[in-house]
Amino acid sequence: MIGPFAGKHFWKDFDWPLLTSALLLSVLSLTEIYSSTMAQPSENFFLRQLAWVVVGIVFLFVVAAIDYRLISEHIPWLYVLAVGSLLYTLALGHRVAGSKSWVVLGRIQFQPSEVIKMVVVVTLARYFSELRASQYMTLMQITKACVISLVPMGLVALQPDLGTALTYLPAIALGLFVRGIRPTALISLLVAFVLVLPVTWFVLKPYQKERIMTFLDPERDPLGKGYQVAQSKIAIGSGGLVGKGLFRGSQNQLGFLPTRHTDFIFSVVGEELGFVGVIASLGLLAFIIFRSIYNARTARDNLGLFIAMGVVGTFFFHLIVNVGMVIGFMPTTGIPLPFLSYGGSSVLNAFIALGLVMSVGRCRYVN
Amino acid sequence: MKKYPTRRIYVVIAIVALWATAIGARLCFLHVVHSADYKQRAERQQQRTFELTPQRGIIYDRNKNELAVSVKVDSIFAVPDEIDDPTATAATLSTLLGVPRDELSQKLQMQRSFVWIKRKVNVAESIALARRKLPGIYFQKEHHRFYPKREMAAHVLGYVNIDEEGMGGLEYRYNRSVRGETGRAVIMSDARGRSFNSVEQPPAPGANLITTIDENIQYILEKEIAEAAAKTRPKGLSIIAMSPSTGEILGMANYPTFNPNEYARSPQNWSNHAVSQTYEPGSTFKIVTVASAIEEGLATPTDLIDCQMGSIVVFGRLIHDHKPFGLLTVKQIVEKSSDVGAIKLGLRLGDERFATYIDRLGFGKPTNIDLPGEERGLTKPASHWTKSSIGSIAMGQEIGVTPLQIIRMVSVIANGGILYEPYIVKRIEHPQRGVLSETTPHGERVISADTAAKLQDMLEVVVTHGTATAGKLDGYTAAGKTGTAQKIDETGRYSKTKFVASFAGFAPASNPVIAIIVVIDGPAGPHMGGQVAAPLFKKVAEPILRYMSVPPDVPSYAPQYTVKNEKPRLTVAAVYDRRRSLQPVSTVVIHRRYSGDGGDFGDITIPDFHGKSLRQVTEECLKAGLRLQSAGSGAAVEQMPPPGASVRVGARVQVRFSTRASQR
Repeated sequence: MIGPFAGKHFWKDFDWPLLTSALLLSVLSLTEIYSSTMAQPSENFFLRQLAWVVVGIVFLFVVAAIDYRLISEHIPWLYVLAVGSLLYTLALGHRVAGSKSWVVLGRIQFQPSEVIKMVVVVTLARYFSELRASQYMTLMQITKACVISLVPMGLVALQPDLGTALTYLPAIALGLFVRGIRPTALISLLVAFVLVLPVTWFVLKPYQKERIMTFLDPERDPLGKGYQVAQSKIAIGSGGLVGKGLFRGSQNQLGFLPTRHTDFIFSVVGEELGFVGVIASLGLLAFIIFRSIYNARTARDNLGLFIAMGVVGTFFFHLIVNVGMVIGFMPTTGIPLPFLSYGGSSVLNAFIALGLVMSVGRCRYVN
Repeated sequence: MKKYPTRRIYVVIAIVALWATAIGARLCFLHVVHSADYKQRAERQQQRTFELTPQRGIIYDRNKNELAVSVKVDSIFAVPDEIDDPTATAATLSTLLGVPRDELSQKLQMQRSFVWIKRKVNVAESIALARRKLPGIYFQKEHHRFYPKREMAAHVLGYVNIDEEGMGGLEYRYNRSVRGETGRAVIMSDARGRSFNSVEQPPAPGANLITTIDENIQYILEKEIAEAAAKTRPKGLSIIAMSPSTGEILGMANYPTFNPNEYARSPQNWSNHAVSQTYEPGSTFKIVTVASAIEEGLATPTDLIDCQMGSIVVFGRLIHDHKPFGLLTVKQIVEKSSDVGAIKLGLRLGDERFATYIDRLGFGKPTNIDLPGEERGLTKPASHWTKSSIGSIAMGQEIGVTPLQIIRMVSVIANGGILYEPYIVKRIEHPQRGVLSETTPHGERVISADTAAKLQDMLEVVVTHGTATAGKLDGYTAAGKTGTAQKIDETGRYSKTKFVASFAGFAPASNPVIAIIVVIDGPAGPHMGGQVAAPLFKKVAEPILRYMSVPPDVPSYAPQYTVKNEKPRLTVAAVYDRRRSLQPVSTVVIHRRYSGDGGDFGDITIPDFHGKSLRQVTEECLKAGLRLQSAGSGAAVEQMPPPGASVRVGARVQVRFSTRASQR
């Protein structure tokens, strides 16, 4: 029988190293957010982020304490609620910078598209784990799995927030890969993906096209010449081995770095703390990912495995896209870095995800 | 339910690990390998750095009159990033500043945060531009070298380029001291181009130079050069006025000259021929021949020499004199400038000894004057002479000298045997750090005082009765030697039409305070040194001596006047003072040889003659070895040199007597 909450072994089995990593990253994040927003003290970026981190930690403990199997049992209505919240956002959301992706509840603003990510992950995990054992999934099964993921993803894309929509892909991709699909099916999926992209293009309205073009092609940036990425590389490169010191990054303080407390927070770390600082923060993130993979492999059941791998896929995708952008490997996209970037919804999502991984890890010892 | 194989998870792990490695490598590349480059790029966009030209030190003459100064002017630069309409801005700037529009428009479109528009603009341009208040156009104060007296001493001073770097003359030679240290202004600017902070390292001013040049003497030289050049239309004309007993250059001027404020207009006139021109000295070099022969005891002024009625064969080469002479004393050889006589004295010396004296008197090597571009002249060691070389060199051919070398040699005669190192900068003074260096006269005895005194007498006769009577001064005795050399023409032979006429001398003959050389390269019309150079010597020497308040030593027929000037100036007494304080440096060999005659210069102190009778004065002078020149009768009321001055044996003393009671 699955107990609703953890028993007496909760504190003993709690994954302290994982929490420590997340807290260290949060401290670094708060410091650099403070540093990069010193010029706008009235906006209270630091205090707001601090509040979200505290909320995130509370959520982490709650989620970690609940058995993930219990969550899975309740996932259908949670999924409906999530899709509902996205529909609500589309209808009555708050428009920021052209995208209707915000919901305002009293004094709190958040992006449902971020917060519900883990609902999709758990839903998919439950679907994958309940399939009958066979080497490969059938086409029907693949389609069903895709639908679970594509409904919320499509709703987010309609906001339109293509960047966040893309972050729904890694969970299903990794799930399909681990559950097993035929090589032919893998190839047909990839081909379908490539074919769908241009079709989507014709469906979009001109202003959306323009936004996506600007979004995907930094050359179209009004300041020109890939300004943001160029400034980001200058910030990182000029940091050198040990950086210019906290609060002393000139690229950051003089405002040459774009969206420096959110998408380009990694450049700020690179400039002020240098190579040592970025390697340390990447090390902590890598530790979280490898620890999650370990929890997936050692999970007591397939549900745990797919939940943990879903989290791994999501984190890893964020990391690839954000860091890749910051160092000039990838085009500019507005995808935050887990635990580091400013943004309440993003932080909340990251802590919830970590709570799920901890729950999976803890329940190895629980019957 | 069977758990799915976790084998595929290893693929995921591999992908994550691979990605982490790639990112790590990329970060290492940015952070470590290319860090310097990115640091520079960060600096370039965050900081605007200007070089601030320092204030060059002032160049003064010996009486602290300013010859070269620094003034503040505006320079104009642009920050292209801040200019919204480069074409319109370029058009406006072009009309206001007269810079080509295309050039400006190109500059304003550059991807840079700093670009000079026009440096060192004049006041009118600056005011007109300031009134327009163009965005992105800024002013920067810069220092600009200004020569208030235009061509005055141009070759000595030199000139500076737009970056205030000395390019010629003293400006070049003393650039390190005079220039000062370049300052830097760093302006931090943010991403929106707003400047908000500036760090400045102010430029340090340069040191001032106090030169030995006397503005008034320099003016006299340049005025007379201009007049003479208009008359004789020479290719070049140089005059050096030097203090014979210190080596200080009092004036140095050349024709053609240039205005250092607009130096770029006449690059062909930049060179300072007084130190850079190598020419055959001709007869002025006979001084070296005669002095060497007397110094070696091979001749005395009264020795008779057969000048063979105008020709001599030297080792198979027939050399003609300019006039046939019979028996002449050595003194007469100098007076009449007999070539055969000079050759015979040269032959007495022989190659080795003659070459030694040529070297000892400073030929064939730089004088080490503190000016750039000095030539060393052309001499050969005796081993490279042909057999008949000695004949040519004895009369000043087959040897190349500079005007400065000749006047230095003549100064040796004038000061009693000391070869001084000529110099122009007396003192380097920094406005904050005080005196950085001070030059003291540096001399070396090369011939005995006795030989020098004998040569003085001979050279005085050249002016009174010889080839340089045109150089006879009104009110003063003078001594010197003319020279007329044929130039070597394109065929390599001596030209019949191109000459270098020169005169090198000093005055007053008894107590020389100034040595002057006049070198006229290729005069049109008369070309003999005695015809063109000696008169010019007279023209400059007379006003200079009066300006220096040197009392006349011969009756004067011209109205007497002296320049009223409150500032301290070089006086005879001052020259004597300096001479007394100077310890001559002599080589051991020479010192030993001449220690016996006790006749070092400056060893007689002039007594006070005031109130004494003519008889008393005459007797005291005889006892002391002074030559008396008296005027009037009664008791002595005025004397020159003043009491207490040091002079050498045989110096002339002027004493005026009056029957009226002494003023004292």
